[in-house]
Amino acid sequence: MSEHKNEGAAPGRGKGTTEKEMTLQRSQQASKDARGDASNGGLPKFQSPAQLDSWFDAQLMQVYSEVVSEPLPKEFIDLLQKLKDKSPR
Amino acid sequence: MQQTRNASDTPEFQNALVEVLPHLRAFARSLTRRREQADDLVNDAVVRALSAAAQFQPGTNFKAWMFTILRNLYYNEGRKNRSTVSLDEAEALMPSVMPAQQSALEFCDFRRAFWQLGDDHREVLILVGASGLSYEEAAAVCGCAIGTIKSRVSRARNELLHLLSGDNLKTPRTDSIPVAGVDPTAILEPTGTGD
Repeated sequence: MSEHKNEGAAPGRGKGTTEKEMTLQRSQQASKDARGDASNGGLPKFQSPAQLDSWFDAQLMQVYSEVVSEPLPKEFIDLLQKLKDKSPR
Repeated sequence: MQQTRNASDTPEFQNALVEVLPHLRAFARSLTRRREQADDLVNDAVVRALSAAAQFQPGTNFKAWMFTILRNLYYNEGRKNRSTVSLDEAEALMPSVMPAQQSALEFCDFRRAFWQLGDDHREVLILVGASGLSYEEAAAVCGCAIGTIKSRVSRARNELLHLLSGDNLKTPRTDSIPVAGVDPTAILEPTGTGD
């Protein structure tokens, strides 16, 4: 039951420099907008495309982790118990 | 006479199932956007996997196999049509507290933008960006080419950045951030039965 991870590369990385720079410019532009200033959230300022990628991946992982870290509902606990009981000793 | 053991009865299979359950719930939530429906979907996927355990090939990615079962249940059995939840409905259920840290506000906006993405984009970001599947495995789960997955990931990231830039989020932030004791994913709970 092996799992294969992406080889350290965040999705969206490895593209041409032009696209990365455009993305960075977009985030820097956004930081100038009202929503992006320090008092109003939005996109923070990024110094490099790698920083933007890193921030993006961290946010995405947090969205995912919110659900993954939830306690399992009772129906699943019961299901797992049935499995355990059924399993040959 | 030696008793034949079902594949689903093996400790390896059952341990793998236990480990993958939280990830199945997260993937199902990204598809349905509703906690209750997502858990029903996971439950059915587990039952389906138990009956099809012999089809799993040891040495391949169990998580990807389970994701494929769950996704097929969702898209091929008419469940998708029952899963719509309006953004207004979701926003109305967000916990509202005073803003605290800037990073929490940023995440709050990111999460709102994420749930505004189209189904394909949400799905591919969860598969590749969060759950750790490779492009190849994600392509197998979605039944499409690797190139399709790569371009979807790229478009999804750009769409998210677009939503986060300027005033592109559909609803204004209400200073809602995740706080201790408040389930931030409660925004995905339906207000009614809906079905």
